[in-house]
Amino acid sequence: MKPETLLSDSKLKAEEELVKRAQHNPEAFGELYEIYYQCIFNFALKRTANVQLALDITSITFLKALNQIRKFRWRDVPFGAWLYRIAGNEINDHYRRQGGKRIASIEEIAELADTGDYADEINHAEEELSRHEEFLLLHKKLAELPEMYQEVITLKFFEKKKIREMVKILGKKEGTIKSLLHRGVEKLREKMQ
Amino acid sequence: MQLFKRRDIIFIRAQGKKMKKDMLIRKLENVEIPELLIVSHREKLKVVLIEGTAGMRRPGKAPMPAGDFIGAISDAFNWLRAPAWRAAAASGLALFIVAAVLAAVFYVAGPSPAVIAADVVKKDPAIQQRLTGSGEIIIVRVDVRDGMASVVCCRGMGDFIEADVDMNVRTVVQTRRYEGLFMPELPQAEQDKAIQIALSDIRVKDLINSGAQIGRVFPIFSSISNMTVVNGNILKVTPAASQAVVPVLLNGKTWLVQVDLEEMKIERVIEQQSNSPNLFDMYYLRQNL
Repeated sequence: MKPETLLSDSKLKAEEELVKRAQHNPEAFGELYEIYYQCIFNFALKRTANVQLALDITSITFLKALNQIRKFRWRDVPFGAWLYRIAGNEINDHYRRQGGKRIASIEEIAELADTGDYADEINHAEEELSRHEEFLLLHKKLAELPEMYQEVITLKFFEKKKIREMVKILGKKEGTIKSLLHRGVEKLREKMQ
Repeated sequence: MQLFKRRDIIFIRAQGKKMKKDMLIRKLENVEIPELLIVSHREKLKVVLIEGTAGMRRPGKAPMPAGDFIGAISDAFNWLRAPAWRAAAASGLALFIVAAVLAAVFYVAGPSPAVIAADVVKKDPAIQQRLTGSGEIIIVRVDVRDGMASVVCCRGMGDFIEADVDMNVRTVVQTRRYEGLFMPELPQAEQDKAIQIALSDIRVKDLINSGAQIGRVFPIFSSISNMTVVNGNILKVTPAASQAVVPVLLNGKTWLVQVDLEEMKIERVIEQQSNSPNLFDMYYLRQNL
């Protein structure tokens, strides 16, 4: 099963069965975890441009999903869309707590890197991230916009989501999303001048 | 010197703005996006989430209050982020806290009745003997009602067995065998569609140009739309086929092209090895039934 937020009817049915099993069976939740871990982590990374923060957001997302899955009611929306929403809310909450500023730059994070047994992987990831200069520049400007614009621009351009998928993830109408995209890109353009 | 009217200036500025916006959109669409993976974190987080609940059944234990859960999350993060020399001291405590929290989530119901019934059937020696076909036992359907479960299972390409399970004593009390009728042909239009999708692949085109032939297209189904008993002893299964396999044959070799009929794309192309299992056993998938 591919990690998608827009599934065909048969795949949606299969996922519904898996989610129902996961509500009572940790191993079934593990299957969902394996399907969606990578895309949630990369989504968090694209929103935050910070490897350690993206890892934390990913951890919180799955912990919250596990804690709330028994209350999860299937509404013919892919499970991935729910995870994206949790992750997006966590990211927004994080920045609100920090007063809208990122707590550290990439360089500062490199100094704070822990010496745990996956510190090497994090260091390599940070190095890899730092090579994407154009993305980091766009992200820096994007981070100055209100979170509603950051969300739609990240999902549309960095996550390559279709509008229909964004409707399911954000729980907003298609017209609203298009309007946010239009205004968001305009504001980003102004920031980049 | 060219003089511009005011409305021309506004128009030119608007056009300039539009071009810059278009350029920004193109930049956003084409920027190289980082796609990273921290394998260790993925594995560790899975341990915290999943394996911490293994065997942790403590009936009568009250669920952890919300505040303590936040503390448990915090402890879990500290464990994930702590340097190795601190992790040695903190990991035991953190794991215990997180495991207690996660166990509280799962302890109330334990596995569902459907899971229990399926497990009873899979482990029943009589059923294992009665089932024809090869491979793992596949549970096709479970229906639990009034303390009894009806479990339909099969194995490989064999017949179906329907087992009645007494949920109070967790024992199979009766079984019925049905001859399986579960491999309808794909409609011709779907077969043609599958072939067209397969032919869009350059590897398949090369094979065809080398003289390969297209074999019989067969469906892969990931769900069942209907299951009925026909004439008392035949179980007719109507699949919902969203995928199909197009075999391509050349010089005694077979390539299997798996296509998605809904998304009109190729999932994978595999060269079948000579010592691989029977084609149908391998690809007549019954996942998620």
